Amino acid sequence: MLDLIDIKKTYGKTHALNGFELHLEEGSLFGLVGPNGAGKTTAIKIIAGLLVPDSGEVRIAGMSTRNSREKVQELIGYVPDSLGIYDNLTVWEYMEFFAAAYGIEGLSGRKRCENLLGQVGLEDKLEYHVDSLSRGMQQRLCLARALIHDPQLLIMDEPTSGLDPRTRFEFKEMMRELHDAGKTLLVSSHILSELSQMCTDIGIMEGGKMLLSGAMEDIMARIESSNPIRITVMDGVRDAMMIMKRNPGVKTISVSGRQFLLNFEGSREDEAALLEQLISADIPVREFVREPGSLETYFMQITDHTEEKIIMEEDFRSARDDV
Amino acid sequence: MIRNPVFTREMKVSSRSIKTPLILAVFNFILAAFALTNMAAAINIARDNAQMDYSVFIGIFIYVAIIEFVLILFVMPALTAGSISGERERRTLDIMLTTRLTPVKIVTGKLLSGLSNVLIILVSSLPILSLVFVYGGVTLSSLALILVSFVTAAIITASIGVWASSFCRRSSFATAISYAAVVILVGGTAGLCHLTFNLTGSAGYTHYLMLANPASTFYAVISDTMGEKNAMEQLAARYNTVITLSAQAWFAVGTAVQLIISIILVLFSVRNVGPSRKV
Repeated sequence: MLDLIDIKKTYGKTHALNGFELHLEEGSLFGLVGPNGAGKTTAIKIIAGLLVPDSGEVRIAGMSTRNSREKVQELIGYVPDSLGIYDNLTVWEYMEFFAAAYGIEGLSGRKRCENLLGQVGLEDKLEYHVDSLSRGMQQRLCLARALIHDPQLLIMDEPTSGLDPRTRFEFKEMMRELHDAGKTLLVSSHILSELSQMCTDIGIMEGGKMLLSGAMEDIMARIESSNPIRITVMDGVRDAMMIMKRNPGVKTISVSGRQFLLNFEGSREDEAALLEQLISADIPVREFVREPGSLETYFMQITDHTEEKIIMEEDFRSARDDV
Repeated sequence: MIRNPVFTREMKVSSRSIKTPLILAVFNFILAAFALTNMAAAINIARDNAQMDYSVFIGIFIYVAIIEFVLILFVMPALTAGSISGERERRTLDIMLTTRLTPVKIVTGKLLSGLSNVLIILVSSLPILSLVFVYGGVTLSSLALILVSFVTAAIITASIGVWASSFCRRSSFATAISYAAVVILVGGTAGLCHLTFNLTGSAGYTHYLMLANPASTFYAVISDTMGEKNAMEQLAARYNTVITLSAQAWFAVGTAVQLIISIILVLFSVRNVGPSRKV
């Protein structure tokens, strides 16, 4: 449905996007996550045709945005991070204007507006001025506006920011419904938990690059195996440390009293082998457990890896010195 | 009926706003106050002397036209300078650009709505301008040419407003730039012409710049209305220039030059509104 290939975009000396890649399957609900300044909005604006990349290619439904801009625009619905409303229009006039902007006029335009306003629960607010609506209602109106031409791909930049928990929940439900109705959705957010609950696919970006992307199930499985192992021993800290150091799966060790935190790369069998080595060496192991992981902790690891690695390596050095 | 959603929406919004009736009321009040008080004074003098000086009525017509021209130069930037920057401030420009609306449609919609407002002002002021016909002295063709010069001035100043609005993020900044550009166009070209004459003894080719000045075409048509058929030639001789256009020719060429400048400004605006290479 959507392919971004080696997109580069610079603002002065800042690389907003630096070889950014994104691939979206039709019918997926893709969550684009990244810290502030990661380049999410730039990427979304390039997909929406509002920014021209310095290099690279954007293809939507197989068509290049460079050559088939008008056709591509028919396929996209865009909800920006700001509401983008006309405070001097009524709800109905607002919808009517955007319907006309897509060339949908007359009876079909009116029916389409009525259906969409009903879908987002604003059918009884037609004569209200847009600025008199609550933020949640304004956001729902923006969603109805973005759907006016029945796009295949809906791009939403931080759609739930600034909404209260109830409205956020309702809005997420609406996104789910759209996904169930066969729409492809690309949703950006820096609130990871809300994306992890509803997305089928996820992409984590930082510094203008996609660090990781794929199906949510695959990523969650990877998170499981990448979490640190916590080992607590009753005695024999020095011997335990020697065994761990010799194990090729152990990348870093952090020691706090009798508790070890291992950055361990390996399968379940490798974990079992390490535990067996410790027990064989008569080390009384009280606890041997993979830290429970979440998308948030994984996100922190891969977007803040440099800082974390330095801390781990320092811990490892101090533990070795103690030994 | 113009099928441009931006134009339709702008007209809908401006018809609701207090701004349009307020501008109409102030504009016509100034014109009417000037015209009626002078006309009453002229009639009183005629009543006392039993003589009617018809040139007074042509004078009133000319002064009313000058006031109207100056007001157009003042009103147009205010009406158009916030047109596109306002969309940016509301963050609605990006949304419009993702629809079928092209930058050309957006810019022309904004320009036409600004011009429609001026057209309403011009039509509403016609009764005041037409007071002169009570006593005669001005032909319908002169009135028509004056209206053409008004519309040309409105088009070029509206284009300046939209152009400034197309690259400014803030409407206040766009308004300031629009007024500065209008001052340069009207006062700057005349000032440069005068300065060149003072320094070299001839305005030379800088006189050509005056063709872009809407005040010069207005002056050409007004002088023609007043019966000063050689006014433009005399002006050229005074500034020792090579241009020897008659008032009618100056009006025609000047109007064409100003419309071409307006088209260029609109094209620049379209370019500025389109998908950006910057943030």
